[in-house]
Amino acid sequence: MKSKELKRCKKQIMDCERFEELLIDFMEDEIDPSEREVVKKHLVTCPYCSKRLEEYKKIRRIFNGETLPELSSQVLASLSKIAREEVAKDKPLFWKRWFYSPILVPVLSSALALFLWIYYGQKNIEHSPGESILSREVMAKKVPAAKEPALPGVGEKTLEKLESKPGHVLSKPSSVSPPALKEKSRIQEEATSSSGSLSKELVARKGVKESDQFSENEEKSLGKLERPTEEAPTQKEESKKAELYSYQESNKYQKQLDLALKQQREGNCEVSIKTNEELLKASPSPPDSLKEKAYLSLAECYEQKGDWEKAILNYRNLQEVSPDKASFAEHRIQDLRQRLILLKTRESRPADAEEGQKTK
Amino acid sequence: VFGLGTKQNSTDEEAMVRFQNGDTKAFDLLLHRHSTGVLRFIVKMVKVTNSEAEDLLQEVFLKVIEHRKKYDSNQKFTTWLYTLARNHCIDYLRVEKHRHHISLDTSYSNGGESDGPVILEIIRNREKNQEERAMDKEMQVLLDKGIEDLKEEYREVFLLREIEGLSFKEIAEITQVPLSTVKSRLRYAYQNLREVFIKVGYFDEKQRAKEV
Repeated sequence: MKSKELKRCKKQIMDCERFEELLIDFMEDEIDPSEREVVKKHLVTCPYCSKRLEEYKKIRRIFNGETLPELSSQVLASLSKIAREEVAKDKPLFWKRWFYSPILVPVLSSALALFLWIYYGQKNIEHSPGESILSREVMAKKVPAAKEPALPGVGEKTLEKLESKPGHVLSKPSSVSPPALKEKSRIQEEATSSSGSLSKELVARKGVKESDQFSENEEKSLGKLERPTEEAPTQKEESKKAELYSYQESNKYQKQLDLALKQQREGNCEVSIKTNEELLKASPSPPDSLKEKAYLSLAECYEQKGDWEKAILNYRNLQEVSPDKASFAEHRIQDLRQRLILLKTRESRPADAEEGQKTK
Repeated sequence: VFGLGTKQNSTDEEAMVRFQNGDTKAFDLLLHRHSTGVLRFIVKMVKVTNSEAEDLLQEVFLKVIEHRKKYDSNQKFTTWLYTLARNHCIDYLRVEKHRHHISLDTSYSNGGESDGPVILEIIRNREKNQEERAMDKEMQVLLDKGIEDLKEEYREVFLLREIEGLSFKEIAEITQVPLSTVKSRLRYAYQNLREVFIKVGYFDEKQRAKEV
């Protein structure tokens, strides 16, 4: 009897040793389902193993029942700050965040709208389809001088004069600014003499700005023309400076026109239009001979583009500046008007309109 | 304020990816979720004062910030975080061990003397105090001591499992040992801790007799 009991006991202990290995896996629920069933069965019959499991569970419970260590908010705050600083160093990522931000679209679009309003809204005063003719006429009535370039002696004659006496014109390249200042005062005078409207002020400002920019560009080209001189500038010289200045300016206009025409020839209509419009917007206004070519080029480009209304506008401007080409322009305007009327009547059938355009 | 904001219910992995893309709110969220766990792991793992543990925690999260680009979103965030925390603790222990080695006699004798009274006091207190809450408190102190005395390999497995509830597989990944080793280490940890309680007489004596 005794030996039998001992055997049973030994077997039990051997069993338990085997199960002991699985007990933690069982408790942590990281055990095969088949093994779990076996352990479960054993636990029912073995008080020793089930007691031991309870003890392990108790240890776990005590461990998890302890009060958690408290972290000072200062540590958290400083870490959070460091993170922000580190991320801020990552500039592309910062912008990426903005890029994905849904707030970006409304902000950007409203900014764009504001920009367009400010930019074109003001430009319209001087140059825009529809309004431009009116404003030009009004301007012409109010400020007769503004229509024509006020500075005399544009052309080769001036250059010849200047070249014959190289030492007399500009003492230093940097002294180009006096004519610029003069220009500024001239425009301002004009603006104040007649009823000073916003548009004139704008023109004045623009004139100053451009002549300032111009003086920088001039430095190189002027350096070739004349050598520095010690003579103090007299009033006579001042006027000569102005002549040279206007020559330089007209030269610049000519270059810009050439560029526009070249762009047109290359079929680069959009760019050509831009160049021409910039040229026409320039202040002081370019000479009529240049304007004529610019308007013609613009009209052709717009016609090619299919923007007939603008083309008509430019032919009208052409008429204004060049009486020689008035009849030619009138002819074109009539033609384009017919096309426009045709297009408007067929607006509901765009395909037909296109056909009409082709036949024409 | 800007963008999509930080979703409170997003997973750690999603939050970490957002942090990689520059969303610092996502980092705050991760910090909020895991700072206590990591601090607890550090306290138990290296047994330092609270302020020292806070320094270590700060260093761990600085590594998170510094190495944010290296995080692979396919990996579980906690696995990555606790790998950083565990490696940092081990480095710290190495340095500490080296320092202790230099002043061997003083620290060892002091440690040995201070351990005794703690246990003795608990035994004495236990006889007096039968209330369960007090008993749990005692057991917590005892368990703390037990965990501290565990071998480093057992301790880290036990802590990773019980603090963060990481799977055996994740623990194997963090500690870079086979899965079976993780299992046996956790078993040894529990067995050793149980021994601590038995020594003091917490668990039933009869069972112990049967075992012998």
